[in-house]
Amino acid sequence: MGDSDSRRREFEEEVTAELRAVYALAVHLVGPGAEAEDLTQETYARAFAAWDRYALGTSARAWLLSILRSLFLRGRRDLLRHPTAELDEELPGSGEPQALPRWEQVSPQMLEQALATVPLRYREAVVLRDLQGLSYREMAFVLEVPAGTAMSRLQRGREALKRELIQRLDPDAGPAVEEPGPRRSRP
Amino acid sequence: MLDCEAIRPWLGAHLDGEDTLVPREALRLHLERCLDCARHVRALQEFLAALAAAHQAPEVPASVVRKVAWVRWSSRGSSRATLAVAALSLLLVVAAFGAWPAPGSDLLAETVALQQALSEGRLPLDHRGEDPELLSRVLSERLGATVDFTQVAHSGLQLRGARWLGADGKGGAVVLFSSPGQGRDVALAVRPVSGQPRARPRFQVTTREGRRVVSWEHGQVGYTLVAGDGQSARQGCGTCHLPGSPDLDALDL
Repeated sequence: MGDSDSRRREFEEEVTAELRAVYALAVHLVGPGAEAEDLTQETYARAFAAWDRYALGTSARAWLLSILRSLFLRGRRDLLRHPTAELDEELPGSGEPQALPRWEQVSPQMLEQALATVPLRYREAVVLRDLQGLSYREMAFVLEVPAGTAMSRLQRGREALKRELIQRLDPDAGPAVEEPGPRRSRP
Repeated sequence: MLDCEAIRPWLGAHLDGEDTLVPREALRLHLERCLDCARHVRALQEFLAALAAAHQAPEVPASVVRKVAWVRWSSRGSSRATLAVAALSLLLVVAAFGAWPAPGSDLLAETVALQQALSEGRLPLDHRGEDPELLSRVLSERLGATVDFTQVAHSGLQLRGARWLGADGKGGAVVLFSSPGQGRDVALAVRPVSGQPRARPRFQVTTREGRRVVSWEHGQVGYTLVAGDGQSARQGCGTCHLPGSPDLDALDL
């Protein structure tokens, strides 16, 4: 077997092992169903076609997820004609209830439903970092933004998700109350 | 001392183990002295732990596995050799993600494939946990025969969990142990066997796909242990079988 065949085989093993992560992100982006399946298939079609551009041993997951995200965004833009209309959703104002959340009551279904309410650009960051385990650098690579921007999106996504979960854990909690802000140093 | 306003934006990244513009030592010192920020970090830790506990990655449908296997196959050339390899890959991928063969069809080959898939996280464990007593109890109930992992767990191997064999779990399980310092995990398939119970186990040692495989039956239970190498196999078997043991000399592995 030639060196190229061997590398190809290694590549295939590496990317195929990430199928679950790829499909999971597709589901997070478009929901379960035919669209997620097609997105996954197309991602692998692109990956296998461009295998010689992938450096073995680097993050196959980040590479595949960046392909998937590009395909997703392209599909969105084609569909909407207004590329950023839905991607620029704004978050509601910040603020957190004072009661301690009963996090142990968060179920997988509740998490999925709450996550779906988080605007896409922040949801992506939470999914990539907190559910897919990417580093900040890999997350920035997939999102095609500077690391600082990725970090900022992650923070906002976490805050939005947290608020949504708290609301679902205790719907009678009433309006959110601002948490005491950071203490400011006096001159 | 840095003030909270300067520190707070970096706490999440700090918690995630990322380097930030604020040196880790400065962050650590601040958190030791600032109750507000320390509370903020604890709250974030609890929230992230809740996410991790509640998160369940969706199972990949068999149709997606087949589609990806097809893409993998069709992206290659069409020479006869390539076709053969691709067909094999297709089978392997479908086997790895789809339905497994019925227990007993070839437990050895099945365990070798499962060891790899479970170890790499391509297949989920049905039972997760590090308590060997609990798993021994659960499996004994399922199989209707005594299974005891407690000694194996004392060998230095760490129990990770189990994946049931067969749709109802009555076909047994593949139990996964991690072997610190070794490249691969150790998998132990356990399944019921029919016929006359064996009073003394008879061991068969072989190598399959570069892995050391030890098979034996004891009572009405059959076992197949798949280890990355002889060292891992010795680690698992050596707990019960000291050098010179009449049944199995672990050093022979």
